[in-house]
Amino acid sequence: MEPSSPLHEHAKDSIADVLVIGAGPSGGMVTHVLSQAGFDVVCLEQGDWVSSSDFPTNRPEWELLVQKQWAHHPNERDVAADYPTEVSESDITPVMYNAVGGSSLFFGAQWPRLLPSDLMVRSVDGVAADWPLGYQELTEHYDAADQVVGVAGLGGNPAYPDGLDYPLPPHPLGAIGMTAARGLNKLGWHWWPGTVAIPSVRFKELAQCERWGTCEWGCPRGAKASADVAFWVHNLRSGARLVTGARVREILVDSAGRTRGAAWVDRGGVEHVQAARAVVLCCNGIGTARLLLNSTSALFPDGLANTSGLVGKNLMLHPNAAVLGVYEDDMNSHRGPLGETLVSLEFYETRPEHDFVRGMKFGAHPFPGVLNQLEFHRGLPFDQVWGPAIHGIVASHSRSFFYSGQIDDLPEETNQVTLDPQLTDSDGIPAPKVRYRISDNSRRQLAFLVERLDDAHHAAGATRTVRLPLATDQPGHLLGTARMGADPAASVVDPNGRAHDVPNLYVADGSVFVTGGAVNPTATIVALAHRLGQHLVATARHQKDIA
Amino acid sequence: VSTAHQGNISVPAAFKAPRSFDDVERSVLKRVADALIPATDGAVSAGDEPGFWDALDTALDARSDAFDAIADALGRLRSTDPDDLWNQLQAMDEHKPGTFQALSTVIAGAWLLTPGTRERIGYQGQLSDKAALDEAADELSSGVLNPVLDRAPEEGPRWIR
Repeated sequence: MEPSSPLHEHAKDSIADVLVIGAGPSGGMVTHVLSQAGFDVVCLEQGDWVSSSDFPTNRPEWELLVQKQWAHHPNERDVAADYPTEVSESDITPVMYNAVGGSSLFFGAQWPRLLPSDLMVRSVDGVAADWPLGYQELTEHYDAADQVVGVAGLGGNPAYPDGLDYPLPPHPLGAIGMTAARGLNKLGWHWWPGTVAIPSVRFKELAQCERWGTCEWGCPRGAKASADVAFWVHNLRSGARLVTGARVREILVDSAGRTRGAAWVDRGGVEHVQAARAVVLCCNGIGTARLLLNSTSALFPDGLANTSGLVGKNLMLHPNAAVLGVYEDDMNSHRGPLGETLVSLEFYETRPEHDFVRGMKFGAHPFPGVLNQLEFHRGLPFDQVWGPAIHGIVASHSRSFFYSGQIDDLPEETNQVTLDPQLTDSDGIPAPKVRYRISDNSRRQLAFLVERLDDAHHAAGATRTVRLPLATDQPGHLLGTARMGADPAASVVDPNGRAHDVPNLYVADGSVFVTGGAVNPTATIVALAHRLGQHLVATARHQKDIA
Repeated sequence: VSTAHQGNISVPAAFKAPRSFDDVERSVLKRVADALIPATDGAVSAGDEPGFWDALDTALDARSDAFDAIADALGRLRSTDPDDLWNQLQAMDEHKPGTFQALSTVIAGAWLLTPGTRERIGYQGQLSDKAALDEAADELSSGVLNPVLDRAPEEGPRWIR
């Protein structure tokens, strides 16, 4: 949207019922619920629309383009919508995308739900903290979100409570999934067909998956439920007003300590104020903490909603590891979707025989792109990659697949987002500094995970494996920095996502996670956003002001 | 500090390598490419692969951020004894991994773009290939999930806490 458009003028001059900041999955869902209920919603998004024809994956050299120009990590890209992140004290570089659709433009669309124990880690394992809500309170919102987004999967997974099903049929397991399944059956481990927000049949604005395989670098076929197509095309039809190129500088509060809107900068550097009766932050686990910490005032000198001192703390990033396996048979490894063909929750829960608490999820994936597969080998000795060896590596591409897994990295206050004292974005707004160190418990989980991934490959008949003990640029799960809870001294927002300190300010992204579980978080983020949207609709009916 | 932004602010600008390699640089790059990707049964070396040099231009545009580092590396390798080239590349990988990554990925990436290489390894790029509606159902009806379902009554309490 250009700065001079009528929409822009309208947005800046009117008082919205609700101001949503960030047009990713959570902002998309909150806006969906509110705009369908007749609320006047304005969304400020610092990025632009990215169309499927823009993605690098339309081009033969896409694997080179995603190394730098279209890299997952914003510090690597040269994209105006991004802000820099100081990561010199971080073991993992947090990745994100700033655009309409947010980081879901580059997500694999894996759509698992948290398990019941994830919401009560303190009760079942005596560590971290319990969420202030349980699995049963979330199921209706998971179900509603699945219907909006169009989730493909197989119901009846016995690792979940009864009643779990999906609106679209599952994707085929393919050669990779069938091979992996036979191996896991041999080991006697749990597995289930993968669940993805990628339509197995045509759904609303989304095409049927064409198995292009490049999901994590943008789907050029319009067949992935990234938030731009899953939500925003519909939200605009429902009357929501989306302002792109709108970077929020701070959340504004009045003398009574209520938010009155936000100050923002357009792409031309011009400052604006968007007034609103309520504000919902949907900027991810780094962006939301950054914005709250940047929103200081006489009433909130340490940042907005930060009486607990927990804004920015307890950052969780879901460290990943992966193992590639090479087989004798053709695996059609170019064929998507990239999100796991199957998933195993065998080692999800704490077991007495383990030297760590909590666990991990892992799944089997194809390997789109031969150069990507070659790059996976970089950790091997030089002469096992280059010279005559390279011919064997590339010839094995179609006969290989990889397992990857992520662990339940528990919250720690020392893993946190702060404001860097020097670094700013292009508008002079202080940039976030991320400090994330992998704990001893997490390191033991990762070591165990890699061994099990290797076991799974060999049980399935792999003739060779290659290990990646830690993926430092994955997975973009940014969680925990404005945690939810009933106690204002121990949490930032209440069980509905409302800030304890500011009655008409809400958070609806991964920041509110109390613990992260070990499953991909977007399904839960969107379910929580649906729940918050419904809460706002319900409370507004009974009060003069929202909240 | 503000900068007015033109065009789509979420899409990277198209990169272009600042210049073409000169003849000397190309001859050094050919030696490097042939060392990293030598001839084998049924395949010529990377530098002799038809289409490699056109593909290299595409690859250099895609990684033009590393153009200067690659050109620098080629300059340093220019006078390397051919018998010592392998050791020099290995040392670069060890001591300047970023430079070696850029140099080697551009070479390998270009080689993997050539039609002959793709034909030999059976990779035609990412393809549109919709699944048939009954494909998943046929797989699942094969009984592959039965072992999991059979163990569920016993192991369910361990899976769901």
